[in-house]
Amino acid sequence: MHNRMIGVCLAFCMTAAVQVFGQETAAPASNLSPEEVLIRDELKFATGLVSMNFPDYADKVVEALLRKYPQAKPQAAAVKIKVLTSRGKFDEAEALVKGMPAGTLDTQAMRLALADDFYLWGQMPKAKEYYELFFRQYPSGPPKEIASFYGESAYRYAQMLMFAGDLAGALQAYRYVLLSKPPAGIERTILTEMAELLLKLGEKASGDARKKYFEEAKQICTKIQWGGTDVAFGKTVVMLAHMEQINGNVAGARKAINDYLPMLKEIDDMLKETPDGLRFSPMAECRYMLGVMAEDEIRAVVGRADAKVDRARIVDMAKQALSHYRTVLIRYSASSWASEAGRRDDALATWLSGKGFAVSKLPREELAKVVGKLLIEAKTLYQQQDYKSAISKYRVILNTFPGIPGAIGAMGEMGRCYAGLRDTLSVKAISGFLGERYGRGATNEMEEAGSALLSIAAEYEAMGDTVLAGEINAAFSRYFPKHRKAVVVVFRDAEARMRAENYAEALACFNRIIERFPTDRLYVDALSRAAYCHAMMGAHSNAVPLLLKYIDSLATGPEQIAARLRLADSYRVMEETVPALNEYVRVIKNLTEEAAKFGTSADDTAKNAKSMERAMFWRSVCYSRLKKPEDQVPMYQAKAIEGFTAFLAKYPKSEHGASALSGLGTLYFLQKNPKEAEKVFMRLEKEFPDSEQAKNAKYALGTSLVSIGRMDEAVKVFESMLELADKFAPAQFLQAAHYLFGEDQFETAGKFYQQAIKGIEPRPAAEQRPIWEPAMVGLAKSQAASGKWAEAVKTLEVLLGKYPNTGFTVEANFMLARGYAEQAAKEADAGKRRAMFNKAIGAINTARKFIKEPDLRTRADFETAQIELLMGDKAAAQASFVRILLLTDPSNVKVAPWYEKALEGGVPLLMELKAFSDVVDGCQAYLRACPQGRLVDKARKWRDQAKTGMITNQPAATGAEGKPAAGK
Amino acid sequence: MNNRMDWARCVVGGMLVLCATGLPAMALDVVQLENGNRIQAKEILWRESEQLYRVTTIDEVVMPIPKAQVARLDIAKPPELDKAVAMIATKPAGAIPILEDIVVKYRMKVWDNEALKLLAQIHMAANEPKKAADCLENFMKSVSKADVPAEVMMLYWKSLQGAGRAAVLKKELDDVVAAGSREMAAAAMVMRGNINREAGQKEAAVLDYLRVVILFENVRSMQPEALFKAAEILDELRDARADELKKKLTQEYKDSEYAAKLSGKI
Repeated sequence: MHNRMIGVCLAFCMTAAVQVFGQETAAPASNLSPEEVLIRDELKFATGLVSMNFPDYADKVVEALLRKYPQAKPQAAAVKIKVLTSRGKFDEAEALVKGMPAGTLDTQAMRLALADDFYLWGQMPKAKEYYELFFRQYPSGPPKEIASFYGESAYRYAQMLMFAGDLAGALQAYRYVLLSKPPAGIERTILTEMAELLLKLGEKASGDARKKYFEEAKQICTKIQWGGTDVAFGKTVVMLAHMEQINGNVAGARKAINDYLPMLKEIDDMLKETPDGLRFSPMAECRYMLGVMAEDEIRAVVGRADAKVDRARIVDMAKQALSHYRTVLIRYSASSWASEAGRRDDALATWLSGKGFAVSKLPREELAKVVGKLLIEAKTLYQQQDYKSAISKYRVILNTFPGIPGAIGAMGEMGRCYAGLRDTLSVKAISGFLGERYGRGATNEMEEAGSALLSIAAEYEAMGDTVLAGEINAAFSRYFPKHRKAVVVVFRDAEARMRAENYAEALACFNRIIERFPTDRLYVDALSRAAYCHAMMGAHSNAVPLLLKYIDSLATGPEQIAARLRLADSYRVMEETVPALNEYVRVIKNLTEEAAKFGTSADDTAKNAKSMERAMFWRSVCYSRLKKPEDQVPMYQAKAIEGFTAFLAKYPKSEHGASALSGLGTLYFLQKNPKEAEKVFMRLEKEFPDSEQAKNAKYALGTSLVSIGRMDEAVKVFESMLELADKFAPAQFLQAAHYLFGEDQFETAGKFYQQAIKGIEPRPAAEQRPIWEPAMVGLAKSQAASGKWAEAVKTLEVLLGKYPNTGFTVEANFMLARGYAEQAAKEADAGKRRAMFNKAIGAINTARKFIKEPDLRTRADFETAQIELLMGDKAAAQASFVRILLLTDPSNVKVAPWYEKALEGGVPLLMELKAFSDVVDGCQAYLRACPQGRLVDKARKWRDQAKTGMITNQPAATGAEGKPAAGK
Repeated sequence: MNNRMDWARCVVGGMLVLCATGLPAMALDVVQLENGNRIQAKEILWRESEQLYRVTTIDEVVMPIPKAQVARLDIAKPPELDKAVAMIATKPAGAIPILEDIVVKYRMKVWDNEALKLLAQIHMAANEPKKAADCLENFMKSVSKADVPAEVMMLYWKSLQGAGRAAVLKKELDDVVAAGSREMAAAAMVMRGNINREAGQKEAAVLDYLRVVILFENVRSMQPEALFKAAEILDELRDARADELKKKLTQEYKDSEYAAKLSGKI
C-alpha cells in the first residue's frame, strides 16, 4: 500500500516534471531508422510489462531483443534495471549500473533511474545518495548540453523530498533547478513554488530562522511581481499577506490584500474568460483569509467580558466575515477553499445566533446550488478515480450540510470511492448507515438510499469482486425489502450464483422470490430457474413440482412446450419412464394436432421443430426401456422401432441420428434379428461416419444396451471387442473402458484399460502419452475399486515414475496414498507398516502442492482422514474430519460431495469421541447450505442425536487419547 | 391571363415529372478518371489481356481506357446480388452460384469484389476455409492491401489459418505489423497470438496479446480481446496476474463482449 502510494506520488512528479519543463524525451519516429523504431518499441513494451507487474516477461523481451540487436545494450539497461528492481534485486541493478562507462549521460540517466526505483521501494536514503552524487558533480551548474536533463532531475528530486517531508532538502533541490537556467516561463513557476516552500519553512521556524526564510520569500515575490500580472502574481499577494498574519500583524495582512485588490481583480477578470478558470483565482484564498481574520476577531471580542459594548461592531464584523465566506462559497465554488468557507460560514452564523446576535443564514436554495456544484466537483474526482480527494470532498460536504438534497446519493458515491480504495470496513459502515437510517424511512429517501447501496454493489461487480457485491446486495435485500428493485436484485444475485455454479445458494434466492413475490413478473422465471438448480444438483424429484407450476404459469406457446420437455427429461433421469413417456407423447400430440396454438411465427416454429425432434427421439428411447409387464415388451420394442424409424425419416441429419440408429440396431439385436441389426449399423457407418457409435459398432451396441438397462448383454458385447483386439484402436478401448468404469463394471473396465495400454505401447512416445496416461489412471482406479490395492500401487508408481508432473498428478497421488495406507493396514511388520504409512502421507503432501481448488483441498483432508483411520489414529482423523466440517463451504457444488462423504465417514467417529458440538455444527452447516441434499434426513438425525449427547454427556474438550483435537 | 399561364406551366411540369419517374431509368454507368473527368457509359467491358476498360459512351463512341487512368467506377448494383444476400441466412448454398455468376459477369467492375466477399463469408460459415481464402485472394488482386477493409482482412487471416496456410499468414501478419495502420497492426498481433496459442506457444501468445495491451492502448477496439485472451492463457498457466488483466477488462471495457463473457465465467 505504502509503495503504491509512493508510486502514485512519483507518477505525479514525473508528469509534473514533464509539464513544467514542457518537453518529451522520445524522438519522433520519422528521424529513426526502422531498426531504431523497432528497438524503441520493444523497450517501450518491456517497460510497460514491468509496470504491469510482468517483469519476467519483460526480461525475456529484452533478452530476445539483445540477441538480435546487441548494440541496444545501453538503451536496454534502463529496462533491465527496472526488471531487477521490480523483483527487489537492487544489488544486481547497482552492479549493472557500476559496470556502465563512467561520466556519460546514459550512465547518469541510469543512476538516477535506479535512484527513482530505490525511492519507489521506500529506500529514500539510497535514492538521495545517487541524486546528491549527481548534483555534486556540477557545483556551479550543469554544462549546457545536459542542462535540461539536470533541471528535470532536480525538479523530480525536489518533489520526492517534499513528499518525504524534507522541506529544507526540497528547497536545495529547487536551487539546483534554478542552476540549470530554465526558460523564463518555467523559472517563474519554479520561483513561485520555491516562495511557497520558504513560507512553509518560515511558518515552522521562529526567530532569526523565520526572518531569513521570509526575507528570501519576499525577495522572490518581488521578482515575480516585476514579471507581470498573472496567477503567479496573485499567489505572491496571498503569500505576503500570509507572512504578515503568521507574524501576528493582522492589519498588515489585510493591508497587503487591500493594496493589491485592483491587480487581484484584474487577474480574476482574466481567469473568468477561461472555462473553469476561477477555480485557480488567488482571490478565493484572499477572501477566505479575510473572512478567517474577521472571524478570529469576532470570536475574541465576543469572548471578552465587555462584549455588550461592542455589539454593533460585532454585527458589522460578522457581516464582513460572512460576506467573505459566502463570496468564496458561491463565486469560487470550484476552488479548494469553497467547502471550508461554507463550513465556517454555517458554524459562525450558528454560533453568533446562539449568543443572541441576529445574523442571517445562507438561504437553503442558495446553499443547495452551491452544494450541487461541490457535489459535481467531488463526482468529477471520483470519475477520475482520484478516490482519496473525492472522499475528503464528500466528507466536508456531508459534515457541513448533512441534510441537503443529494446527501444520500453522495453517501453512495462516497461508498463507491471506498470500494475503489478497497476499504471494505468503510464501505460496510456506509452501507449499514444507509440501511438503518433510511430503510424504514419515507418512500423517497428509502428509494434513494436503496439505489445508493445498489450503486456500491455495482462498483464491486465492475471490479469483478462478486463476493463483496453479493454482500452489499444481501444488505440491500435485508434493509430495503420494499424497494422497487428488491425483487430484481434478488433475482440478479441468484443468477450470478447460478452462473458461478453455486446452485444451493442460487436456489435459496429463487425460493425467496417464489415465496415472497408470487405476483411479480419474475416469479415465473424464478420457478424455471429453481427447477434448473435442483436438476443441476441432481435433485430431479424436487424439480418436478416446480416445473409443473411453471408449465401452469406459462401461456400456450413454445416456452410451454420446452418446459414440458424439461419435465419429461426430469422424469426420464429419475427413471420414471412411464410419466416421462406420457409427457413426450403429449408434446408430440400438441405439436402435431394443435401446432397453430403453440406458435405461428418463424421463430416459434423453429423452436417447436427442435422440441418435436427431441420429443420423438426420447419417446422411442423410453419405449425401449420399458420392461414391464413382460408380455408387453415385444410390443414396446416394436413401438420403439417404429418411433426411431419415423424419427430418422423426418430428421435424417439430427444430432441424435447416430444414437437413434444405434438404438434401432440394438433393438433388432434384442429381437434376434442380426441381419436387420447389421444393416442398421452399416447405415450408421455410412450416414454418421464421424460419430463415436460409427467408429465402433460393438461399442455402440454395448452402450445402447446399457442405456436400456441390459447390463449382462452389454458386458458380453463389450468383452467380444477384446477377442478382436487388433480390429480396434487403443483410443476405442480407452473410451469403452471409461464407459464400463462409469457403469461400475470395474473388472471388465480394467481389461479394457490394459488393452488400450498394450495397443499404444508400440507407438512413438508423443502419440502414446494422451492414451497411455489416462489408461494407466483408469487401470489403477479399476484395480482400486476391485480392492486390488497392491496392483493399483504398482500401476501408479509406474505412471508417476514416467510422468511425475502431469495433469493426473493430484488424482494419482490421492489414489497412491490410499493404496499405501491400505497395504500398510494389512502389514504385520511394524517397521514396514510405518514406512508404508509414511509413504501414504508423502503422497498426500505431494498432491497438496498442486492443489488450489477448494474441492480438491477438501478431498485432500478427506483422504488424509481415511489414512489416519487406517493408521488407527482416531484423534488425527477426528481433526481432519472437523477441518472439513467447520472450515469448508458445503454450498459450493463441487465441495458438497466431499462434505457429504466427510459427514458419512466422520460423524460416527465424532459421536464415538463425544465431539458432539462438532457434529451439531457440521450438520447445521450442511442443512443450511444443502436443504435438498442427499443426506438431509441423516444430517437431521445426527444433529438431534448429538444434541441429546451434549445434554446427557460431558462435552469432549479433548481428543480420544487426551490430546487436543487438531484442526480446531 | 397570367394565372392561366402559370396553371398550364404547372400541368406541363407535373407531366414531365411523371414521365421522369414513370419511365424505366436508363442504367448509365460512370467512369471516374484520375484526371477528374467523368464519362457516362452505356457499356463497360474489361479486357484482362490488355489491362484496360473498353468503354462505350452514350454517343456510341468506344474508348479504350487503361486501368491506371481509372479512379473509380460507379456501376449500378446487379439486381441478383440482393437476392443472393437474402438467401445467405436461409439457404447459403443457393446463393453460391448466383454470386459466382456475378464474379464472372462483373469482373473488375466493383461488384465482383462484393460477391467475392460474400462468397468468402459463406465458405467460412460452411467450414470451407480454403475456398474462402481463394475468394479473398481473388478479391485482393484488384485492391491494394492498404485499401482492403479491416473486416475483409481479418476474414482473410482466419481463412488462411483455417486452410493451414501458415507461411502465407505469417508473412501477411508480419507485413501488417510492420507497415499497416495501428488498428490493423493491433488486429494482426492478436491474430499472431491466436496462432501461437494454437501451436502451444503460450508464452509467445501472451506476449503478443500484451503487446496490444501496452503498445496499442489507444486502439480500444482490440483491447478487450487481447486482455481476455492473455488472461485466459495466464489462467491456464496458473499465473495469478490473470486477475489483474480481468480486472482491467471489466473496469475499462465493461460494455465489451469479452467483459460479458468473463462475467459469464465468473
